[in-house]
Amino acid sequence: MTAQLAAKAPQPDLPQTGGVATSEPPRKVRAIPSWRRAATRLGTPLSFVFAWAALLGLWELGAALGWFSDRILPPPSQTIPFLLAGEAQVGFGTQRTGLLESIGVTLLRIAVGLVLGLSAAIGVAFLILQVRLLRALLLPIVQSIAPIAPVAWVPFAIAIVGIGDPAAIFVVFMAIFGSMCCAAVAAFDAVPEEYRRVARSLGAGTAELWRTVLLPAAAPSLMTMVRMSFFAAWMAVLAGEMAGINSGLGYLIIMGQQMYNMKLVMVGIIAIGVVGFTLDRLLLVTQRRIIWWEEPK
Amino acid sequence: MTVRLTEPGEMVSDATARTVATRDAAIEFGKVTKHFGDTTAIEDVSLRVPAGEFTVLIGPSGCGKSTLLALAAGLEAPSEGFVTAHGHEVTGASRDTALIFQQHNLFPWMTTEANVAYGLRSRGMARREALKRARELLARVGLSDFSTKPPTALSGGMRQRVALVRAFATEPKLLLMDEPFGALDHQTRKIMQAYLLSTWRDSGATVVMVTHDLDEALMLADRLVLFTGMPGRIAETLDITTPRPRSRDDPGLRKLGARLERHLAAAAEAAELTDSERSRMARF
Repeated sequence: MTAQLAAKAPQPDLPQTGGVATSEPPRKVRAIPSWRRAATRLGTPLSFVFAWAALLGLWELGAALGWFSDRILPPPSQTIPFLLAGEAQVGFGTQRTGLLESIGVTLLRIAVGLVLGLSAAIGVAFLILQVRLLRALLLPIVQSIAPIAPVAWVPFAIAIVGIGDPAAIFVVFMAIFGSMCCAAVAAFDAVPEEYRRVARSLGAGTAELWRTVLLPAAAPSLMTMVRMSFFAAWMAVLAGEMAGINSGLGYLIIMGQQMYNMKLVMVGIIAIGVVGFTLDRLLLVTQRRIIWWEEPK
Repeated sequence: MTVRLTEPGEMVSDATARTVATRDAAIEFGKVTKHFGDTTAIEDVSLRVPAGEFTVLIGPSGCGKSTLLALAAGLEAPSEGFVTAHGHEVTGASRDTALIFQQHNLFPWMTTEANVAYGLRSRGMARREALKRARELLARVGLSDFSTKPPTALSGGMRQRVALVRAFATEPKLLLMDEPFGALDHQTRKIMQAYLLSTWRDSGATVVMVTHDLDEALMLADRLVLFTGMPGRIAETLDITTPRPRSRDDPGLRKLGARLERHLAAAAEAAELTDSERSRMARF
């Protein structure tokens, strides 16, 4: 990761007037030496590694000196071999489920729930914006659903569709639908009136207005919304799996608790952190790709 | 240089008596009043804009000039009176009418050429053909190098130029401009005015432009409509027959400019200051 960043040496800023500027001699405005710029670039990942190394070192030290019980807070020297040996699994015989399989189950639920929830949120937002009557009828309901904690839907979900994937997907859906619908309505409302007026006067119909103006204009907010709903879905599905949907990563952790296997709990926590962080970064990269016209901050 | 002065309403007196609008008028306002809630933006405005002419609306801020444009564009409906375009009542946004605002409002998620092609695509032109046409139009204004760049890569003047090209690309009969060059610096503004004049003359379109800049109004207008504020009313309509290109040093224009300046200053003062404040300031 660091090597990749170092290879991306900062390029000299080209003025945006294009061809004209190339005839001018290069300006010597920046007196900052290159090593310092490289250090600034590397600064974040380096401090990231250092901070974690320090914490893990203290942890290891504390366990070795007996400051706390290594049965409750297993140090990295126990957790990592446990993880690498593939012992992080629950169930017996044919029901035996490993860590990777648990992650896969959970991710699939999130993916399906996210796609359904976001499509429904944007679809309902479209109706609310197009039809004034629906704005008066649907928006209050959506706004009331939004603040309900997703785990609260678990009993309902299990009663309606039973334990397993459908219940988890239902919980994810309920976790994101309300708040994302409100956010989508706000995002479309915030599209400057002038854009609509210009598009209309240039001859755009309603479908074209949505496709070429409203969706792209709201895309930056919508993409931020997708990232936020990913987090909400991630939290919701884990809580759901702990609260009765008996499979997936959340279930793995709860089994660790019930079998008093804290290494299993620790591995589950690490998996949540690593997978969540990685997917958020992926979404961020996707966001920058899709919204190509905005300068990254 | 001849300046024909008309009393407010005189020029339109015969037109407003009829319910059917005159044929050669690109836009006609008949006794139009527009309320927004409790406030009256414009009151009893009658105005005929002849086809092919360059009409400039000038007056203090908040005198309803922009409202008048919104009515002409069909974005707002009058509270009283009627608005017709080319003899037909305006009921909604028309494809024959293009809008230009102070902000360029280019779509940042499209390349410059896609922006120019937007109106052509909306009219059913094939994508490839529309983009080709857009590139030709951009080449004419010296922006070939920027056709595949996003609008963010352009300077302020270039963006407004692209906005003009986009508006003219669909060959509108009527171009409504709301302080189009208000955000540009003085030099760029002069270049854009010259560019607008040449494009307008080639297109044969009718232009109605709102501006705060008296100098701009005198350089561009065939007809100048002077407003007073709160609620907006037409104070005076002037025909400026000085041939183009006009010089800022033309004695007739300067004399007219000085008179309009006094009118605008008085109108602005009336809007901004109370009587007691005015009498205090009169001592200086």
